[in-house]
Formats: sequence, C-alpha cells, structure tokens
Amino acid sequence: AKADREEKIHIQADQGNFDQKTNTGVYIGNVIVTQGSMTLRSDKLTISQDADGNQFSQGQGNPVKFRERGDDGTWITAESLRYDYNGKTGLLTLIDKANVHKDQDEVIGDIITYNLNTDQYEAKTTGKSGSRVNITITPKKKASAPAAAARPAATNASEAQ
Amino acid sequence: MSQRLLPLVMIVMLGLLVWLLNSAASLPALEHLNRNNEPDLIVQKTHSVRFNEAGQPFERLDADRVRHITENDVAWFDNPHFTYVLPGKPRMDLVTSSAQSINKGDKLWMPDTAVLTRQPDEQHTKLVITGRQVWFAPTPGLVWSDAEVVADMGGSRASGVGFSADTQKQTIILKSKVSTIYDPPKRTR
Repeated sequence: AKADREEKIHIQADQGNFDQKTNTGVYIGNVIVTQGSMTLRSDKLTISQDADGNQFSQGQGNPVKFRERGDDGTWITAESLRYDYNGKTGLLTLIDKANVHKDQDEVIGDIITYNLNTDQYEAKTTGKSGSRVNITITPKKKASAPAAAARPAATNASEAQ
Repeated sequence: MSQRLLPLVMIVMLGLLVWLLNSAASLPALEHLNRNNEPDLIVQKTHSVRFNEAGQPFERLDADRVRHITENDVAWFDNPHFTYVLPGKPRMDLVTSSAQSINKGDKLWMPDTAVLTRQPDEQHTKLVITGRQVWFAPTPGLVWSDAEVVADMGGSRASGVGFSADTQKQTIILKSKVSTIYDPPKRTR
C-alpha cells in the first residue's frame, strides 16, 4: 500500500556491505526486506537512495518473492528471478519468469511492470519466439439477483403487520 | 709465632668487614631484574598530542594511566579517549576502558566495549559504532572486529557479527547476521 513507503525498512541478510559516499547497501544471502505490509525475499539485494530521499533497489533470487497488501486490503504476491524497484516512479519491474497474483487474478510474462502508486501493471515478453503473456482475470461475483429481490418483499411484509 | 699470624688475621678481618659492608649496601630491589613483560614506564593521568608533518595536531590521547612494556614495544592505556582530527575529515572519537597500542600506536587493540563516534559532515549525520574486541589502525582509518557490532546513524541502525570499516572510504562490511533498520527520510519529490 502507498502508506508502506513511509514506514521504516527492516533488512536482514547473511552479509552486508555499505558505502556511505554513494549511499548504497549490498545485502547477500537470505535477504528479507520488510516495510509496513510489504515483504520481499531474495538472494541478493542492492539498495540506494538519491538526494531527494527516493529509494531504489535491485535484487535477484531463485526466485525473488514479493508480497504486499494493496490499498483495497487484498494481498498481492509476485515472483521473478530478478527485479528492479524505482521509488521515484513507484515502478516495480519483475524480470524473468515473472508472475503476479492478486485475489484470483493472475498475470504471467517475461517482464511485468507493476505501478505501486496506481495499481496498474503491464506484462510483456522478451520477444523470443514462443514466449507469451498469460493473463487470467476472474470476474467478481455479483450479489445473486433473487436474494436481492427478496429483501424488499420482506421489508413490505413487516410494514403490513 | 703470634707475630707472624697477626697480618693474616688482619687481612681476614678486613675481608670480613668489606663483605659485611657490601651486603649491607646492596638494595634488594637491584637483585630483581626487570622482566620484559613488565612495565618499564608508568604514567598517571596522561594527555598527549601528535602532530603531522605540517605541524597540525591530528591525534590526541587522554588516559588515566599508561604502562609501557618493552616486549613488542607495547603500551596499555586505562580508560583512554582517542581523538582524531584529519584534515578535511569529520572528527572521530574513540572511547573504551582499556586499549593496547602496538608498534608505537600503528595498531590499537580494545578487548572491552569500544565506542567510535564520527561527527556529522555536510552529507551525513553522526555515526556511532559500538563494538567489542576491536582493532583500529588510525593512520589508514581501518576498524575491524569478529564480535558483535552496532552502528547507528540518524534514525537508521545496522547490526551484525563481525565487521570491517574504512573510515576514510566510508565503507563498512558486516560479516554475518546482518540486520538493518532504515528510516527513509520523507521524500521531497
């Protein structure tokens, strides 16, 4: 969720290298990042920050696993072999064997770009022959018609007494 | 006969007297030779300053007591407070309860808890590193240990087991069990 971005970031790993001059940290081995409702697991993670305080990170894993609660309360999970996150634009790019699940919906592709600010995503292939994008959208179940009609009738009966 | 023995008796008496005087005059301490691993110099309440080639003070040391030991040219400091002011670099203070300097201060060994504080500069807030069993080579500005360490900077904290830091390149490697809590500054754009 957008509010997560203002939360503290907690990162655990086997080893960490930090360079204050470039404001960069490289984490290696069992990397777990938590920020608010967001959790990210990877083998390696590089995190940096620009002068305006925007955060950027790149990571790789087998796979990288990402999980976060959307503003509407539903959980979004995603996986890929590599990822790139740009805090300035809010774009999370999943690269290589990428898939995103939200509720019953599913998106599979070589590259999936997910906008954490607008909840919009774009899936594409690398153009290799045979690689395809696969999107499954499950229609939301509408409240069934009879149940809807019956409710007003019950109200009339109670008024008539 | 007695006249011939007199000189002999006199010589024996004289020798006895010299021996007695000698043993009375010798100080017990002089028999105890100073061992190499015992202090050959003890200074109480020391305040020392080191100057660079340009004559600028760059290293200051205050300690309750200093003991110098000949073997390996080692000095032990009680409650030392080291201050380093290198040109163009933020001031650094190193405080601990005991420290051993080796080879005229080329390297320092701190077995107990040691706190290294680097003052803020234009880009960074104050950095405080707390560790144990820490080695410090002042001139190249290298600090390392295999024990637990915690580094605090602004709202962020990093901890781990084992580290090596280069205070001049401003880099730090946490060797294992790394945990960082990072307080992102509020984004301006």
